[in-house]
Amino acid sequence: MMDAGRHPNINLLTYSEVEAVSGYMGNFQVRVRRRPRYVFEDKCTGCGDCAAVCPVQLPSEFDEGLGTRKAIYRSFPQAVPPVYVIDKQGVAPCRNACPAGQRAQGYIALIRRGRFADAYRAIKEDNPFPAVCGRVCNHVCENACSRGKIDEPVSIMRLKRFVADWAFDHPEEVAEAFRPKIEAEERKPAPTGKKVAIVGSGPAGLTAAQELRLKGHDVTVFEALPVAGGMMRVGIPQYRLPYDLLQREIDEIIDLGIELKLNTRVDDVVTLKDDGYDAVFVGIGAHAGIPLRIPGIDLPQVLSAVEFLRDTSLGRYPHLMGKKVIVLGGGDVAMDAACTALRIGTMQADERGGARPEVRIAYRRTETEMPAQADEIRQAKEDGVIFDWLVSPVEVLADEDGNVCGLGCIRMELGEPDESGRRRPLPIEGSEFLLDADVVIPAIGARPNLECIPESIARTPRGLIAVDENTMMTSVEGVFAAGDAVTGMAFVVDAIGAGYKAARAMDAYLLGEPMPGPEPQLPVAELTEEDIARKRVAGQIVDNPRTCSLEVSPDERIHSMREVCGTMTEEEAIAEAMRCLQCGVCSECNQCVHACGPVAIDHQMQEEVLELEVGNIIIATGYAVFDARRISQYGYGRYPNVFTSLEVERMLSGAGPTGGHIVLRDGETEPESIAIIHCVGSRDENFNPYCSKICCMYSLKLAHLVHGKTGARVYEFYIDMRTSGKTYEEFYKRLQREEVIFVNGRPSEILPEEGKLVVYAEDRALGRQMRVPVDMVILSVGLEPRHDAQEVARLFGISCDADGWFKEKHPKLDPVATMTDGVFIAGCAQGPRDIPDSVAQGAAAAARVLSLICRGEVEVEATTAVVDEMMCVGCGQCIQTCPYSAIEFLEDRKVTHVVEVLCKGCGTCTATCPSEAIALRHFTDRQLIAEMLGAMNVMLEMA
Amino acid sequence: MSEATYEPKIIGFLCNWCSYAGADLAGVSRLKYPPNLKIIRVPCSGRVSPELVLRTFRAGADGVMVLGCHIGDCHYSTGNHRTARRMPVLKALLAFTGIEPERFLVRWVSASEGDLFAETVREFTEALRRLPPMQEALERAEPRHVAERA
Repeated sequence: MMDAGRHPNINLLTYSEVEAVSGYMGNFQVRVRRRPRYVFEDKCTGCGDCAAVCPVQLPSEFDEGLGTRKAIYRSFPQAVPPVYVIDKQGVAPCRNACPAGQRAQGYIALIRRGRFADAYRAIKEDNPFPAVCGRVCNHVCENACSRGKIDEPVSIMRLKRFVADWAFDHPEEVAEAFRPKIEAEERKPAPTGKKVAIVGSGPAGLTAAQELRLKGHDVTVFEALPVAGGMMRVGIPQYRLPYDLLQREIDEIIDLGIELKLNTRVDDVVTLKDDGYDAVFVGIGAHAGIPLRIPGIDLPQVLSAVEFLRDTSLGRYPHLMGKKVIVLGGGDVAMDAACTALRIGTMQADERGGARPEVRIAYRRTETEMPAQADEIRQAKEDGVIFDWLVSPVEVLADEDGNVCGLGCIRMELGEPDESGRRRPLPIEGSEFLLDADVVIPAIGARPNLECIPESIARTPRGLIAVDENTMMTSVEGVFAAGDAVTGMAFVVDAIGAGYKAARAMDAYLLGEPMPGPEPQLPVAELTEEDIARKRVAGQIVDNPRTCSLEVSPDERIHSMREVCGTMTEEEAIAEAMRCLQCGVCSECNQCVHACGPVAIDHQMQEEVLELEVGNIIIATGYAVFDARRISQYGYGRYPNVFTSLEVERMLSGAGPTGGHIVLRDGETEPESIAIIHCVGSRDENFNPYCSKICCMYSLKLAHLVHGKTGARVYEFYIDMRTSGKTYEEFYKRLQREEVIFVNGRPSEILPEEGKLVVYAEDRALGRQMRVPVDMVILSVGLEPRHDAQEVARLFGISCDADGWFKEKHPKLDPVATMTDGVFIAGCAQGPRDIPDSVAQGAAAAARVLSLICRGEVEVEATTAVVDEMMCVGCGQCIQTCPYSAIEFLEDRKVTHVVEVLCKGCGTCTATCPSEAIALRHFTDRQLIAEMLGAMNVMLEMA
Repeated sequence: MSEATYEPKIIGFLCNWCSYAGADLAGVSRLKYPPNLKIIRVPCSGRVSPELVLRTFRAGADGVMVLGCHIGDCHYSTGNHRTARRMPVLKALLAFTGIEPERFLVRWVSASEGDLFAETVREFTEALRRLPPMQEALERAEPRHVAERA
């Protein structure tokens, strides 16, 4: 195998399938699809450092399920090529749904193994703000989670939060996880000397800042407010996202060596380029509340929600004790504003001994149409916020002093759906009414404040900054933008994803490299119901319920801005992580990448399609093993200690799953008595009638080895002993002397009785029934054609015989050729045979091919068939009758055409053609009829 | 024409690889068989179409035989399978048209079966002698054929 793998003239295409074959002998075109290995074959040294750190463990196919392997694996130590492969079914649906491409399956696989520090590293590779997103994200990943098809999705967001919170309490472990283990990661990029200005310190800006800094550029962040963080800091209240946690994540980014200028408003982003910055990033977010266009909007106690939240976040609390507050809107901002107002008023009441505020949310549709997250709505209700559905504001009323005293409203009803798909609210005539109010907080959306954006930067019709969708560059060269300023109000994770995208393009721009195009679409590993059922049968689904999160009780929590939700414990996190169905198999946690010294792993590898021109084809695709479960009387799959011969072969191997020990399924007990049953699935009218040829010999070998290792009493149940050829009979004789008990009779069934497996058989030599209790039964399973043999045959233009093996040209005189010139078969693909015979056939096929190659020319028949295209109606019957697949159908002209090099001149097509459109040269109808008439004339004259 | 002295005229289509070689062997072995058969060599029995057989009857042959390789031994692998499928249908068609189906014989004769070939010709000739000459059948059929066209 090594010789073949390393030979300079042999191109070994592993993980590949032939998809299409066309042409003919000497001129075949073969299309091959190569699955991505995700490992560079020429770089991997087979050291195995990757497998040591991979968190995903699976049953090993090579060890017949007796052992395990990792998602990155090598089938067996002597594999050719001796390189690793990653079993990746695709991108997990959670990653595919995430706007930032977070590899959630990756960090969940690490949490499952208790490797929290590694999980933190995995998260940080895709997201600089895990503590933030772990609390406030809209978690589209959970909506896409395959677990949701069984019970409830994996609690991906809160698992991220768990890891982030754990990481801050375990800095040493985290430092160790981040420490580079391979030389490639020790090298930091050299400073590029390029300067970048980032305007806005929200998630988009800080993500872009981090990425550009890590690439070696000088980064300065301009922030107009006295605090960094954008909406994360001034839009999300502390009881959802504590400021110290956010600040720690911001500090980690700034500590990379980024200059942060707080309280520094930029007047014109484009002029920054004149100030010596080579590129500018605009991440100014959407901080201008959309005004409510009703009378009274300018009254002093009407506060836009965005402003209200910003002011309160900076410590400027309005007087809310005992006030009636009405919040207008149905989104998360409305919930945040309402609950913040409630808390501030309550804290003020506690401090000064006053009344608590009454906070209402008025929304023009019903709860079902509310865009806010369900948990936010629930918590607001629990806090005591009053909800008024189907209410729309008409006017804000003031008293004599010009202070807000009420809100004029009108009741609404739901009509037909509008563009958003939700039913349009329509005012009910004459239903106006008054709500008492002291403070009105409209929360109907926010827009970017474009004061610092000059006219040279193009806007979209909605008033947002226009950018190229791949590079995030604006209409001004070197000025990029991302986040809410580009998309309108969105979520933190959207801004983070956009920040990464912009940074990638900006890095290319700064280095004068080509700008990136659209990202390649990688296949997604969607689990079907059958996939899930299969996983359940394999015992891979853990039935833990979704972990509930602890919340501070409403009575307690409204008296402060303390965080409402608690975090999971380590046990809860591991239990939750075990619910993951591991859709992609490889979780893309990147642990292997961090361990691979030769830098041989590339998770972005795509499949390759190759078009090969070859002259000859040899098919040596081997056999499939008979599935012993089909013979229910033998109990394989039901009784644990019934094994197949292949399982025992693996146990016998010193490099196998049991280290060379023959043991029962418990992994410990050595059997004291063993029965080996021949002809399982072979010589059997119910399954395969033929003899699989190799089983007698390998059964004798197993008896000899197993007896040698365990000293057990070995019984062999056989019908006939087929040990033909050199030295095989002698081996059989030797075993007869060696205490193997041979019973001439095929067992009818195996039953578990009193802790043993009892084999029921007739001993034909003695003419009596036997009942043999043993500890272990080994089934000598036979060989079958591979289950896709018919498709493969069709692909190559050859046929299968009655049992499904590929058909040879002549069973005695030409066993390696097929009816199709240039296509040869060798080995078990043609029928069951052992290794010496397979090797001989391989050499024979090679010799046949060599003789064709050396000749360089092929002799063809002179008496070939030819199609008269004018007469041909394209029925294609000739194609079906040709034994040599020598006729092809021409799609463009819809007629058939004889491939002369393949035609052998039998004339079957000529006789078949209903349109008389095919003629056989030298045996045409005219010629035959002339002969016939001539013969008739002679006979008639004679009469 | 007296039935006793009428000599059937037989045309035989023999496949090159088996039955023609079998006929050669009969000759080399000096086996005796009647001279009523004239042989036309084809590459494979599958080359013989039903039209060819019908034209041969129309040309006045009293009997037509198609000899080929045994099933499984066809030099072209499946050619004689085609023959085996076509010829029973042709037999039924002959009966339908009023031609005695016994006038048409399909048999497998291998290259080593010279004696089988000779016996086949002998048997077939005798069987045809017991049927009226084909010319008479053709003359009987002609008026009906003309009447339909009119």
